[in-house]
Amino acid sequence: MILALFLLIPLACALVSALAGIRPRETPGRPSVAASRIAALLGSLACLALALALWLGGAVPLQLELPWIPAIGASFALKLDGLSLPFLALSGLLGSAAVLASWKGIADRVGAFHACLAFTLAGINGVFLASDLFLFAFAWELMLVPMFFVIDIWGHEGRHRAAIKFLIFTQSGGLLMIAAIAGLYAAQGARTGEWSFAYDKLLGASSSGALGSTLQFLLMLGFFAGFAVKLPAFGLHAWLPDAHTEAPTAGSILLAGLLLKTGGYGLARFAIPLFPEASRALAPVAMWIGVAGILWGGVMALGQGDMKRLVAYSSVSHLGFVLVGLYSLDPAGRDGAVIQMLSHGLSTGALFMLVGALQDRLGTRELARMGGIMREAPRMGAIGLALTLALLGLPGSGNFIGELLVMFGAFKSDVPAAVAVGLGLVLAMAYALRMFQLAFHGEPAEQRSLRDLGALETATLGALLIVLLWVGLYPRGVLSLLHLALPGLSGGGAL
Amino acid sequence: MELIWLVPAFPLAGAIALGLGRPLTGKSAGILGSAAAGLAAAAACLVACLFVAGGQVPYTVSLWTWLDLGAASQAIAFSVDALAIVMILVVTIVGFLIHLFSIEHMAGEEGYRRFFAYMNLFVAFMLVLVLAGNFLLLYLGWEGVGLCSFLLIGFWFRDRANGAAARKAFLVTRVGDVALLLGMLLIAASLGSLDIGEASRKAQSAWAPAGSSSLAMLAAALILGGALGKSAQLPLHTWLPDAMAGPSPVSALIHAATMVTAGVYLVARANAFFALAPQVLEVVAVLGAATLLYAGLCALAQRDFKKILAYSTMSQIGYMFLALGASAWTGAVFHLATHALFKSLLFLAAGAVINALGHERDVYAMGALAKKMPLLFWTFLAGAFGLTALPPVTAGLASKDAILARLWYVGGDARLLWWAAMAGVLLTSLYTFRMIFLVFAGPSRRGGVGASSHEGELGPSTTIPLIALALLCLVGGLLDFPRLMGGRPYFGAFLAGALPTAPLPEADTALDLFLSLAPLILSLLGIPLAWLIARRGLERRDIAPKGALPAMAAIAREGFGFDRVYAFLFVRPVLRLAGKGVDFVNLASEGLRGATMRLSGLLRSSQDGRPRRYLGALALGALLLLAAVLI
Amino acid sequence: MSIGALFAAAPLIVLALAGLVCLLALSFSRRKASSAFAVCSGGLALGLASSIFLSLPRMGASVSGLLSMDGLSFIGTTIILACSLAIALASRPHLARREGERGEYYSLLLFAALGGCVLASAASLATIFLGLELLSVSLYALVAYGRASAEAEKAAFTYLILASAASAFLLFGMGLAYYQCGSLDLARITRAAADSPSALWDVSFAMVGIGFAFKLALAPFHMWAPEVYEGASAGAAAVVATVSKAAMVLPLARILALAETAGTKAGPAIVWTVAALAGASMVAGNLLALREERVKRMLAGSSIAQLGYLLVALAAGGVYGRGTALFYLAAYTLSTLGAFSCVAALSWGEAPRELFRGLAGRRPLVAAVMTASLLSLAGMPLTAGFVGKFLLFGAGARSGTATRILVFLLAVNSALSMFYYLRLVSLMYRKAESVDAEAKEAGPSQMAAKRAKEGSLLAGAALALVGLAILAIGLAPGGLIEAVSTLISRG
Repeated sequence: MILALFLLIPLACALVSALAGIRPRETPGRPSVAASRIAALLGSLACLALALALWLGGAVPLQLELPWIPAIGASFALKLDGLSLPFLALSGLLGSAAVLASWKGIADRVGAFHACLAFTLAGINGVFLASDLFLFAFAWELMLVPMFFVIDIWGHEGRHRAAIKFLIFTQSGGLLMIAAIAGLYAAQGARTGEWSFAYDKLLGASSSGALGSTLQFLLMLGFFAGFAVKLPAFGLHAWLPDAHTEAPTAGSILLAGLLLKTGGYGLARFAIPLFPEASRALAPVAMWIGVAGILWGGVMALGQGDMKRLVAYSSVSHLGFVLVGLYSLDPAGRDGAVIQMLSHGLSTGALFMLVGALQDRLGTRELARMGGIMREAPRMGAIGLALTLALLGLPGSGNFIGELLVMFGAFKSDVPAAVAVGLGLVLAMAYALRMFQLAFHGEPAEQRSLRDLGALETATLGALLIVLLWVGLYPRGVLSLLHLALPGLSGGGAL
Repeated sequence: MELIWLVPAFPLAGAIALGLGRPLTGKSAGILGSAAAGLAAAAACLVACLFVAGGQVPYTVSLWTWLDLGAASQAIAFSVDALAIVMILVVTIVGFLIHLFSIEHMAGEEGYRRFFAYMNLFVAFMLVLVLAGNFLLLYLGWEGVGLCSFLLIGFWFRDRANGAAARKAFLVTRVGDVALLLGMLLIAASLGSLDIGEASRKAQSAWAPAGSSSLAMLAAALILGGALGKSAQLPLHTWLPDAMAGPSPVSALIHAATMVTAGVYLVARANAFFALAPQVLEVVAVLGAATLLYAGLCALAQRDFKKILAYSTMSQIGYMFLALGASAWTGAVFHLATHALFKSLLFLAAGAVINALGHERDVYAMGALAKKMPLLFWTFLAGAFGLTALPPVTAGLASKDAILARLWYVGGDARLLWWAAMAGVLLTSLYTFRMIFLVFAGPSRRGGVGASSHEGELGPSTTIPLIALALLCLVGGLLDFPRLMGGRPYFGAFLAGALPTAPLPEADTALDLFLSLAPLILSLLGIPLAWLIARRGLERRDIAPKGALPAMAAIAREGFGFDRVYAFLFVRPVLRLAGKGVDFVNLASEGLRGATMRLSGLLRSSQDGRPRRYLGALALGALLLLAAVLI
Repeated sequence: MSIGALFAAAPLIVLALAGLVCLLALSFSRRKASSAFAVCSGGLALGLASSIFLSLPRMGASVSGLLSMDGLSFIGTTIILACSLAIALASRPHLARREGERGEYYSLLLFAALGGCVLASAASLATIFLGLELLSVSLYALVAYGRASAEAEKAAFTYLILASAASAFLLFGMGLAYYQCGSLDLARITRAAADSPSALWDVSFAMVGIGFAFKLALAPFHMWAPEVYEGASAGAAAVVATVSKAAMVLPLARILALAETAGTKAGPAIVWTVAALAGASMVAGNLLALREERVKRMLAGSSIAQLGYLLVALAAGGVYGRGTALFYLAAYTLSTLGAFSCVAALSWGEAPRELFRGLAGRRPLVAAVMTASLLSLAGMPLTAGFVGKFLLFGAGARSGTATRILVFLLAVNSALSMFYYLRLVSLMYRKAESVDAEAKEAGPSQMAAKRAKEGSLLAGAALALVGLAILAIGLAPGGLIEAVSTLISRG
């Protein structure tokens, strides 16, 4: 029953926030506004606390199964294991960060805003927990609409277009995935006569020969499409820069920190274990798609003038590592992919928070109009430096561990890919340093008075950084947990 | 035993304290920083004494397991052996002296506290680098020192040019680092271990049988890549001259004494892998020789005081690589140590001069400082003698002679390398004394501006390190003095525990005499030539170069245009690709969108409200349907 | 004709009587629109009740061989009557506000519903045609009527011409069928077709198919739809979009069911033709709706596409396929009903997208229901549409290559459809510049205003109910799925 809390708490918070801010026009500072903010914050913190408690309590794996739609064999089944727990913790952490990041920035329809945030979080937690494919698809789609609203209502200049673009891209992938789920369900049901969406029941489908190799490959492609768009894989990433750039800070944090991760998580949890043979067939291609993402994302980041857009493209590059790691079909690569996702969530989330803070203060995201921030706002400068170093994967940061393990996995299965990934590291340094120096070094580009980070912001960012450092210096903390989940994961020994 | 972790811990703590300690103002920051470095030095000495007292038994102190890379489990662990001892002593002692020097030298600079925080951080990382028992931790230190070098080169970040230089340094070395990383992965994947000792043993058993297997070559080559980057050897050397944008103490500590020589340390550390790949070892030697000559020529043509020293560092490291290539491991490390002494001395003295002249760095605009700044002159001269391996200064003399002798004894093709080295000796003395003549001798060429602001009035915290380093230079060589002059190889013997050593063939006095005198004579010969070069240079400094030689000089001043080539080959293509950040994938998706919209418009225009059209469509549809059913 | 049969047919009888009463009342005084409204809604409610309490217990009863009151007919009747009732309620405020309000609207609505129910329970070609004509004729009138504008008349005229052409095809097909087996009874026909398959059968089926395709507005027989939806009043358009669609899907499902029991093998040609129809409708509908600025036209495109989706399930066949189709029909009608009720709540006539700008601020309830409906049409979770889509995918994935291709098309198209659905949704939550839509409606008299007020209360209640139903099915579809499957397996 504890697991249900991961969905119930955010939903409850969504309700409270919505009710608190029910009246359309608010003036910031009205009690109801504060109430909705606090409700949202408490909700995320509660999720975080819950996740940590389970982590420290070592209470994994944990399961919950309630009947839902017996007619089609779909049940409300949640399963918490070593793979999902770190992501749940991350969602709690970044959820709180997102609320804190929009503490001052959002003044319009505050209640609705936090309701949307909490709703998205509920969907995300559902994705990380679902062990019934119908429920998974449900949660997968559930997080889209509130996120759409977050971008569309509270975003920046080009928000409407970006929001629709985000929705259509992710939805095309998502629907293909749902089609694949339905196909898998139908095939397995037809074979066994037992119509069920349960993950464990479907896990053996492809190995049991329920599906011919072509069908298996097609279904796998369906799943892959869904997850590759979210990740995003190179070629399907066109939605990401716009969405990240136009979204409000909190939105960008959730997008980069969590929504993208659902893609990687889906690959690791579903696409590869469900269709081991087909995945093995796809692996070489997928790895090079990942490599292309790493390199192209890096090159694009190098060319951006808009800081937020730069960070967005760096995400494209970093999540290329996830693809490479997962499809190296090597334990090290898989571990690396997971670590990479977590660290990227932390570092990029923090980075977006910083960019948001800058935009609130300077009213611009243009690097050309920044400069000299190091002198005016040393705290900002220090954190900016730390985040830049994480961005370029300096040892000590979690990102380094992720990239190292991914490269190791790649090296074992495809040496040229590993070398190309190495080039990606050089590119990463190039764009990261360019961003840092343009923004923080040199002389201020224009007359301004810059307020340094407040205590709240500093504390939040500091916390994220400390976790990042912890992952970087003691990755075993995550990996040992992850390896608990291995048996459940290694479908047909693909991983 | 257990207190080895203290050595890096002190500077790290210092860095953190300085980083957070807002209230630290005025000199207090500098004093705290120096104290941290000093404590580290003290701890290092203590460790060294215990090590020697304990009969030089290598040991490892493991803090916690960091990461499992396949079968290889990497710990955050410090392992101590003779080589590590030497390195930590060099790093901490020289580092401490430079910190001390900086207290006054950097006084009044904006970001004084930041400076010392970075310096401390650097020392900490450098110590991690040399104390690391496995490649992964070594890589952490490796990247860490790179970071600090970046931060300190760009210390005066208000000037974007410095930032560019810093970025260049970090990026170029990163290229090498990636090679090193790949080498590590190769070792981990094929040997199942990243512990340097264990991996070396495994390599000998796994790769040796096949003579020099391709894997061994690959591993060695990749490691070498890392070393070339950090040690600014051809072809990854372009960053070092620009790195002079940083404050002088930084150049002294990072770009002369410690970080740039990390490559040498790495190769020495991984000697087992190179021993398995003689071809790669030859490459090391050749690259070393090439860099030695190349950098010497460049140094000869420079006008910027610090750039001369930078190129000189490059060429000295060339000597070390030469030694490594001739598998004179201990000789290389010895030269590393002595070079750390005299080169940091040179940089500090130069820095003091430059400060005194109000940040004037053009040697053509100096002169006649010998009388104005006697202390700086004499200490600088001590360093210069070390550099040119002239007595009475023993530091360079001993180490360089050892290398040259070793080269000769290797024989075969290595003789060529010996000749190259001899040429290097001449070049060294040429550019060194040219520099000295231009800076300290001759008439003063300074317009009154910025001149003699605070000459001579150097505080103790500046003078003490200079004098201390000068003294160390004087006696440093005695640790491993050529047998000809009745020296004993204490140093080599000490290192024998950590590095393989090949004893020189038994004494042949005549040959020894020749081998020691030849470089000496060349160096002395260089002095008058240097005087001529300096004069000519002064005469034609302002007229555009005519004729072959001046043109050559102009090219050499630009480092023979490596930057241009790299910019053309790598930088510009990437930047052109990045363009204004226009993503063709995005364009494609927009195109798709547009096409769909146009299609929709087309279809809607067919809804023109004319019933007969609709009727026609209906009939057409019916026909199609019937046709489909019937056929 | 036994009393049981009478009870079984009760809903039809009730509707017929109600319609007559309505007409009579109006013929005595045209001002008695409110009474007409009362009779209409009462009749519909009574019909609903009777179908549940009288005909459901007697399921499977055949009424004089022309009608069979089975599971299918029950489902159809329920959907149709519920929709008509909701539409009646939604139309009330506007009609009440109009000068010289016209009660005939309600009687036409009743007859349309009656036609629909006849179609839903038709067991013979005769009743099919009867019901079809009853439905169509009242639709022509409805479209032309209840909104005084040239557009409406033009739309009605277009509809009339095209529909009669389509009916001609239908009749011809029926004639061919009768010629081959000398009977109008669906069961016999299908059996005969199964026993002695011939090209002629294919032709007759194709002809009948054209008739159905036209009414369902499947591409390429869809051209009338945008015209009619746009021209008709919101209420009439709602009837076209829900009642008539449901009324056409059910006989189709029945025929397919009978064909299956008879063992008629649909040749690949037929399957691929159907698939082509489905695919074409999806693409055409979505492309039509994509950049449409007039909401009713947009919904027309949407319903063209939606019926294309639904066809996937029918093409998949089998009890599961038909069950899915009917479930999806329910979801679709509910969502479309919601959307049109919202349109009706804002404007009876013209409905440009701008009408919806900032709606959330002005009319939270309408905005909420509209959002739910559109998301349901888009197939987003928490709504009935999501489950429907999922089942469609399942049904499509089960059977042959053709439907698998359709599944792919379905996925791509519904992704595409997000564009126009969500574009409208987003518009509702933007800042409103105070253009109050209702200002366009003519200022009503005191009396009318009062009636309009109570009317809009009822309408609001209906609206809320629809919204809740959408969410309820979206959250707990189990019951409905069970019901449908048991009904069609027993029927």
